[in-house]
Amino acid sequence: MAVTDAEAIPGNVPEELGETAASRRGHITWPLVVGCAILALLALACIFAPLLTRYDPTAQDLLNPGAPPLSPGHLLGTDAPYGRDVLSRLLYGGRADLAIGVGGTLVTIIVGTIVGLIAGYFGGWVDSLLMRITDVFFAFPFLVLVLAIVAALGPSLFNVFVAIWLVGWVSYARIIRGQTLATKPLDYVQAANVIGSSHASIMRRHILPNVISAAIIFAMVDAIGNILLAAALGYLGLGVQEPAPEWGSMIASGQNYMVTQWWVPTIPGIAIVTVGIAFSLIGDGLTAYLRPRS
Amino acid sequence: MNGHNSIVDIRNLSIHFPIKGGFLGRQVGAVHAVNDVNLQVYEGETLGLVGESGSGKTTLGRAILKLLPITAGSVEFEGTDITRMSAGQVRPLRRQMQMIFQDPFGSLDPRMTVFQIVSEPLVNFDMGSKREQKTQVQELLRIVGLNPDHINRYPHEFSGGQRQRVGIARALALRPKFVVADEPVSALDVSIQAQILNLLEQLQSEFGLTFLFVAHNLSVVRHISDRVAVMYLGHLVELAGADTLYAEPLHPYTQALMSAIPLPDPIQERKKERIILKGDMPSPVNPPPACPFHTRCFKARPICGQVAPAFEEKSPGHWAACHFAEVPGVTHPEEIKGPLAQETA
Repeated sequence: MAVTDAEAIPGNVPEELGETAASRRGHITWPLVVGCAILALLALACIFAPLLTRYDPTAQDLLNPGAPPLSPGHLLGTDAPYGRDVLSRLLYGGRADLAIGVGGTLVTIIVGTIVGLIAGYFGGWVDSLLMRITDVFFAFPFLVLVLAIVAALGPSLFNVFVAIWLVGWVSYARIIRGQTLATKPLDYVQAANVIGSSHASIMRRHILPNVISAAIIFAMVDAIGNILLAAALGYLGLGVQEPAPEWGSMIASGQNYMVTQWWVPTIPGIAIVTVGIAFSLIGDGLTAYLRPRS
Repeated sequence: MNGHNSIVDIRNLSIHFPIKGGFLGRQVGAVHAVNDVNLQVYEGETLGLVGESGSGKTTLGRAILKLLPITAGSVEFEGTDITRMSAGQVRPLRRQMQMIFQDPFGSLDPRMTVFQIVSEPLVNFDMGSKREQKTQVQELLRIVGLNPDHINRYPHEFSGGQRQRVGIARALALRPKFVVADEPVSALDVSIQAQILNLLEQLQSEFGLTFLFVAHNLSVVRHISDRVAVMYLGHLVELAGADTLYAEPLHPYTQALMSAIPLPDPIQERKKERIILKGDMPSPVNPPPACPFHTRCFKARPICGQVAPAFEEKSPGHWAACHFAEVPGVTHPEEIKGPLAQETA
């Protein structure tokens, strides 16, 4: 009788098979932990900036400009020529940059994933239509398109968001479409069809979980890109407007004092690099974590 | 139909996959995967469907379940013509017809637990509460010989044979009448194959299932089938009761296949006459005219390249498509003469 087949006897299951649900994911690796820790620390510091610094980021102290780091009362010094506290500008400014990194990327990954799923799953004219639209966006260099949109809408933080939302989904749509095309012919998707799953349920239950990891990993790179973009726009004066703090504009206004007050542009630069490294570590870690076992 | 009720009735079924090419993506050709196939599957039987890779047997199996677009002809399931049905119209019929897949690794979603996999058909048709579904899934796992406590495990925690059992449990969840088993054991170890075959036979009597059993292993098909159909290059070339087909193959292709089955006795095996077919199966993009097999047939004569042989009942219940199908006691048509194009034996 089949029921008593050797391979089906519970006791015959190898020891390692005793793992349960928690083991379905790959391993949590150190890059993931370190990356998340750095990002969480930075985010918390920016969110709770008022608790960490008693200075208003825009308050000027014209009697004390260009104070070096570790000066009394100013841990990271003050900028020149206004004497604003660099630490509080860094923390308050980080709110804008991190918000762009997270908020810009989150919206684009959702929109891009939906578009890519629909295009890849249904194929035919739906696919052609959606992909031609993405091609139009791809035909322009990303930065130039964002610059044009922000310039047209007017320089502001919100318009930077809008520009990223309008342009950024395209990459995700392409990634997800390609993954969907590769996943759709697999037997388990065919099987879902045979057991009467609807298109929506096949996309949600079978395709999305198996294609999203590529987009999530790309999103980590994309988040860095968006932060750099926000910084670049700030540097060009198209993003957050002075005197409101933002890392890119801090570098821009500090570069004239590079020789005498090097910390003014360097400290926000280090902050950008640190966030970049954190996201990139998370991306590495997620690659290992999201890979299904086979 | 000899008192048989056919559950699936395939008439003149053709499935061609278009080949798009060129600058504008126009159709430049077609893969003739299935050509003009007529076949009935009787209620309660196991119909074996054999053929080489590329013979169209899997395509035929999937087309019956409406997983592929049908180019021409019709498929009736329990008297309902499903040929032109939309995906939504076929959906209710999914409760009646199911499929077991070849690859036990590819056919289970790696991110779902056994419970999620086996209960998905129940969820799709709103059958029972979550708790009832859990009981049902455990019952199904027990039926297919798995430990019901393993309900929360993932496919990667099982062996190939165990995964195939999960796939079988999923196919049975809706209590179907008709199951297409697409080479269900060809990806498994030989020792596991017999277990799965026994399980399928046991389930057939327990649930009154009708099987279309697609395979390329003739010994496996003989073991499990009531009738066997042989396909070559998208054409049905022979159909007969399993014992008849193995004892008296009529079509030269079937004869060649039979001669390739190894015998367990080495002395007999050495004495056995083998028919070696020359060359490979022609491309289904450019199938040979008339009889699809004439390019490789050891009995081929000029007529074979000119007139397509009809798929006829050569003796009761024994169908073949060959001008020279040898039925004992039936002589060759007089008018066909000339040297054999190729004789190997």
